[in-house]
Amino acid sequence: MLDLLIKGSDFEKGLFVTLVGILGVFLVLILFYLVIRVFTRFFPYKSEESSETK
Amino acid sequence: MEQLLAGFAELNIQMIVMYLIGLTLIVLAIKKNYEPMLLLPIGFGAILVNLPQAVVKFATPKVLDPFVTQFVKDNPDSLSLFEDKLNYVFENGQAFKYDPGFLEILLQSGILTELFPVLIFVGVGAMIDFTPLFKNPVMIFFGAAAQFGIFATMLVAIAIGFPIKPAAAIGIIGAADGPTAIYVASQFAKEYFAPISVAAYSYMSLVPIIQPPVIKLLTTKKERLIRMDYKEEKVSKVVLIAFPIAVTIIAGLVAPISVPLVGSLMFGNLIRECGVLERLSQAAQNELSNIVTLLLGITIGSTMLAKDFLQPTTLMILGLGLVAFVFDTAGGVLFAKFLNLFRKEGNKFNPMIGAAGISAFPMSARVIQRMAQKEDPTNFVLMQAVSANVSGQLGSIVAGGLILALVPLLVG
Repeated sequence: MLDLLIKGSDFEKGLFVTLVGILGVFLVLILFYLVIRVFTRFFPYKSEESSETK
Repeated sequence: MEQLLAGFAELNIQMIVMYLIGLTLIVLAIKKNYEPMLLLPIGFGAILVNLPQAVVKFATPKVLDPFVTQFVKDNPDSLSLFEDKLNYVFENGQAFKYDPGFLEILLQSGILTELFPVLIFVGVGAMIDFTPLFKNPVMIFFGAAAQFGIFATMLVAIAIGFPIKPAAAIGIIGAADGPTAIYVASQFAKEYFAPISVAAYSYMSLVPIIQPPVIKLLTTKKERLIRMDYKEEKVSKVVLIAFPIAVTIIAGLVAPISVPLVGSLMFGNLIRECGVLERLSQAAQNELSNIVTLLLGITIGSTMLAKDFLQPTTLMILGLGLVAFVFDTAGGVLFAKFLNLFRKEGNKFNPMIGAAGISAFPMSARVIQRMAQKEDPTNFVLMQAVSANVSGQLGSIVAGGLILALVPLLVG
């Protein structure tokens, strides 16, 4: 498929980059979201933490 | 006497136009306070480089080199090597050797090596507080949706005739993130470096003018009045420290080419959050950021040589930059409206929040809060907007990294 795209027009390449790019940004940010969820679940704020912590 | 008047003899209308452009940027910086830290040095750099003989760029007069002229004619691929590394400039197909002036040295060592954007990211990372995002993690998706403008603008640029690499670099103006735009432009579109950088920083400062009409066009008054709950929760220090490390590893695995961008941003953030490097954190936020910003601005200005800048493509790029910001805003707002289709009454997003998913921090969040309060003075959406805005900073570098990874796959 990549070979076909390499021979394709710039617009076709652009569409591919757009599709994979937008999906990729969402995918990576979903991973970040999961990281935040996991971290905040396993490391909840404890009241004894120093007052510096936000 | 002739030597004394040589400067006047060389003066031409193009140079005068560039002085006016430089002055306009300086006036915008001083009078309107539009990104003054960058627009003022850029404007002054533009004047400096267009003075007769451009000694800040070419320290000695250029000397024709017939051997290199012929060599590059026979081996066109070697052109960038001579231009970027060996201090040659090509005019009308002929190669001229020069000794670099101080701004050319800064360009070669700070921008073409991508060093300045990376150092800026260390400073930006040290300034970012991810706490609002940890309190509203769902807002991270607006940071993805508002990158739509990057890709849509790239397609528009291709449709009007730009090759894919410059088109991608132009699209990145929509990241609303100057260092990312510079980073991508220095790899994909050195020839359009000046207009892309100027557009990226100019439009960032124009967010309060660009976003409100687009948001109003796409939302109803009822939608703009939506209130959103905000829970004030504290965040553990462990989370604040572990997050930048985890993000760097994930970005490195998904798009290794994005590591200089993501890694430097997260390094700065780790310095901030670790709690034991306060002095370094302050240095990154202040001294490092200030020095690199100063050098970056004047160096960008030095790329605005009249013969390169005063081209129809410059106007096209400036126009496309505006398109990118409009698409970004629309992408974020429409994504929020889409999500609202699946959310219960009383738990819906105020769609204006979506527009804050761009990287222009904290300007975009403030614009959204101002708009919300204009509709209802008792409606506070600032914290949600800040969460989306912080996500936009992550989204823009991820988008930049993915473009850097994907485009070379297709064009080599």
